[in-house]
Amino acid sequence: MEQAVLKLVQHVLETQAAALELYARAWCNAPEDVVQDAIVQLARQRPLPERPIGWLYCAVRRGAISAGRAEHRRKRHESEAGRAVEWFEPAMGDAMDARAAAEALSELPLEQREVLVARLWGGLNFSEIGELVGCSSSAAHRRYAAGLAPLRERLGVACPKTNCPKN
Amino acid sequence: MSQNELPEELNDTERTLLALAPRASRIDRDRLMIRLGEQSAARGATPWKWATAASLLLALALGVRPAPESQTVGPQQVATPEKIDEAPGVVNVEVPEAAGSSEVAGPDSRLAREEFDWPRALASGRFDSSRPLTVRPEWGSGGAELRSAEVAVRDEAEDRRPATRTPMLRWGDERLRRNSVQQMTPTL
Repeated sequence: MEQAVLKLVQHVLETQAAALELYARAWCNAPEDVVQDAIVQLARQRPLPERPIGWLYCAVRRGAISAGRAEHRRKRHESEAGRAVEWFEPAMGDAMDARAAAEALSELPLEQREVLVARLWGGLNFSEIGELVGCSSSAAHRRYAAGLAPLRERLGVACPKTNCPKN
Repeated sequence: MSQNELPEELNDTERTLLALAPRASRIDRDRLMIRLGEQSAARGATPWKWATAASLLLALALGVRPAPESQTVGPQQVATPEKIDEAPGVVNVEVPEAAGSSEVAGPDSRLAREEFDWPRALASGRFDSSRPLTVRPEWGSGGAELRSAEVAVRDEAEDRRPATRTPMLRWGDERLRRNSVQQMTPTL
């Protein structure tokens, strides 16, 4: 294997694997398999994509949607309750409750949720997110803002000006 | 406010959410590396497969090719009697034509001539003691076949020889050599 590909794979594993799994979790319950397949596909690309992280999110999205459909057919009646608690590491100190954040995130519409994850934990800019989800960058920004607002209300994040919860 | 700026309250929500770390990846690194290695090996093996197939085809093509026809024998250099005389290891002796010898051609007569020739070579001073006695094959006939026939006939003749035959002449025996030369050398 080429040295550049190996370095890229290591970089992805160290910095993006967790975010990619969180992103894939919007569609399927076995995100690690989807992410692994996407990384293998990335290593097969010749030449390598110009923006490999964005390319990976696209591949993960496709794979997760496909895996989610297969899971849906296989486990139509299986309860999905309780899976959201594993989305984040346990919160430390004053950080937001991880379980509540996962539940709030899971209740968002899919189009807002994927934009939030790609922006917050994937680090993509709105232009890349627009390419990823198939919309313009301004539309991606609007979806992002529209997703943050209910999260703020649901999680009760303090307003910085009044220093009190919004609701 | 630019297009990508958020209201301040949403900025705070964004920062709070960023404090959460996604659950650690559960990707099995070993399994991933094995898959990548298999993929890389599969890609790298392709040229070798083609090279092996090409070599095999070439070997088969060369192996089943019909054998080249035997080349027509062109003008060959035939040894002339003068050249044969100069050839090393050949004892050139003049064989006297015995009466009716042409009619008695055969292995027996050849054997007799061989037994007869060595004293004459000895007498003419052209006998090479370090080399075995050779009989020049008849040119024009199959040399190898003639040679093997001669060997067979010679062996047969050896077997038929009576036990009371005179002892063989040894070259180291000076006295015997002298006597033999005097007794057996025919008049040239």
